Amino acid sequence: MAVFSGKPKETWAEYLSNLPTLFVRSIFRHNYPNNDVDRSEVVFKNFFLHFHPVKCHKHSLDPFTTLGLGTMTACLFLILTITGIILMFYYIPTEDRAYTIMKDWQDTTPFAQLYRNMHRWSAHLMVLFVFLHMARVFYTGSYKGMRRFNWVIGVILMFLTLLLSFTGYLLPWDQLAFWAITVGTNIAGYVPNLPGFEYNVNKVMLLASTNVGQDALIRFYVLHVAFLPLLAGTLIGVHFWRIRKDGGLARPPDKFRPDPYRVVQRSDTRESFAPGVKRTYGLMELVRGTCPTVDKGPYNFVFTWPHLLRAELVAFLLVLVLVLGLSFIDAPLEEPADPSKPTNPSKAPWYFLGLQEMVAYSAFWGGVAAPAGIIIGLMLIPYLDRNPHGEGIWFHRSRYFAIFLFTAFMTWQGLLIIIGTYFRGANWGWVWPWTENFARH
Amino acid sequence: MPKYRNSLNIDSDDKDPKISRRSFLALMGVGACLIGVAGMANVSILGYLYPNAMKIPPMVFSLGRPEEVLSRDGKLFYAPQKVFIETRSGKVRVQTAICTHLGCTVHMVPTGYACPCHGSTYDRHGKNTGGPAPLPLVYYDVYKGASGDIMVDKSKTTLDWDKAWYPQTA
Repeated sequence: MAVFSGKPKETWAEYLSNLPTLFVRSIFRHNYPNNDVDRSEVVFKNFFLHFHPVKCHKHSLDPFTTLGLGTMTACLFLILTITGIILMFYYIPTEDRAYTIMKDWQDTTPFAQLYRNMHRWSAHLMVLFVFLHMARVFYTGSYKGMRRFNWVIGVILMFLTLLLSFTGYLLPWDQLAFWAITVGTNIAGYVPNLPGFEYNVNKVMLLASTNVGQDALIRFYVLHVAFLPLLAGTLIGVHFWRIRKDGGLARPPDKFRPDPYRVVQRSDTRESFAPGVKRTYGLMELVRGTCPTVDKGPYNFVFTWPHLLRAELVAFLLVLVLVLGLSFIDAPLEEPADPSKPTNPSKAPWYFLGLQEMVAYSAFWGGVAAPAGIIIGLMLIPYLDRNPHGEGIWFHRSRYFAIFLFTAFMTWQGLLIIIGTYFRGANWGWVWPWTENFARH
Repeated sequence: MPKYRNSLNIDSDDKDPKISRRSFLALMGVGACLIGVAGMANVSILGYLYPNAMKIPPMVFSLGRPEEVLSRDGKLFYAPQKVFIETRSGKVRVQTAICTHLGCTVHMVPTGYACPCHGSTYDRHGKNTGGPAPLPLVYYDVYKGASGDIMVDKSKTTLDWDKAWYPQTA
């Protein structure tokens, strides 16, 4: 009678023939994801994929639901991190060297200009995509219900993106950089001072002095390369994590929801082939419902591998092609910083021209009160909008007033940016874009 | 903890709405410690970022020998100190060129001064006439230093454009 007496010891020949498989299996703890089990395992056993859900709803994968804007923003942050670290190998944050290093990159260092261009245009695109992503989330009503606080985190991330851009364009220490620091820190100086401090504490904390110089440059450098990216990276992690914990991307309720049904045995698991085992249950997560569903995923859900990952890859490649294409345009570098004389007109990058236009009316109201009001107002949107309808639906009819208000706000900001870009000339005076003395920044 | 993992046998204490005195006091104690630590961290970081010794350029600077300075005529921009030096018939007065709005450097235009950053305008005495500038451009005190040089003290300012002249005749 054949008695099972343990697994026979494998010979060296067998061991060596199995070694490649063993080695691959020691790295990847799952097989190639060509079946449902491994499609699950590839997501939750892989460190780099495990922030994804194992399955996601078909509605979320529709390119017209999200337009991929959030993913593209995250891809840009990734590109910015990588190119930024590459640029750090040469950059020195000193008044007398920062500018010449940037200038020399054009001639002395292969690909340095490429990386600088990529970094520059990715930053501009990231600001743009953050705004577009915010508009998408608003117009699809995706900040409602469980997702309220994720909108707040998103607004903080938008603010951090703007701060990262601001601290970033100071580093070349050209005219743009110098006068941006001067104006930016003077705006901070309009924030009320703490009692007992000789100089405005907000300004001194940024400048380490009362005027712009070397001490300010190193502070903005540290903010740009360490403090703000770490903070933004952490919050991006929380932002993603909350998407999953809040039940995936916002979507309208399914129109057709078949009842879950039970089956006795799972056919697609390895465990089902084990002798003597008729049922295996793996409790992966607790979900709300009236009866447990076995051997049947939620209706309309598909596996992340390959559907979501493929969509993300497409988004990443699109962004990369866009950035590489824009990188044929050299990132601008103005004259070296001249502390005695700003250029005329002295214009910020496009995303701050709305702010510059507001500041040109009043420093405190346009530079401190209005931006603070805008940020706080945006954060409060999910708590002020009590309309429960339209979650995950573009331009839901019942939200006409909210959509009108938000569109009016965005149009106002867009108009300010257009005015600042095309209708402001020497001494910030009004010019028509078609006149000859129009100075483009 | 429930008795069985993944079971719905909820611990009876789990739904107790009241916090026990012991827990409350412990929370208060831990909270006070955390607030204290956060306060100390805040104060130390604030202090660290606000140094006691800052590189602030000297408030007093020299214009040069009187015979040179007073012999000129006209208004010129002195870049290192960002001031306008106006000399007329043996008298000199010094006016700041830093816009009172957000610190850009103004420049001379036929009507007075204009700022390139946000469009503040001033008349030829430095009075703010338009744009976002909240205050006029001040004049600095000019005096004769111990070395005989004509000195400017940026910490003493005046808005009176007649009294800003050095030497005062009246």
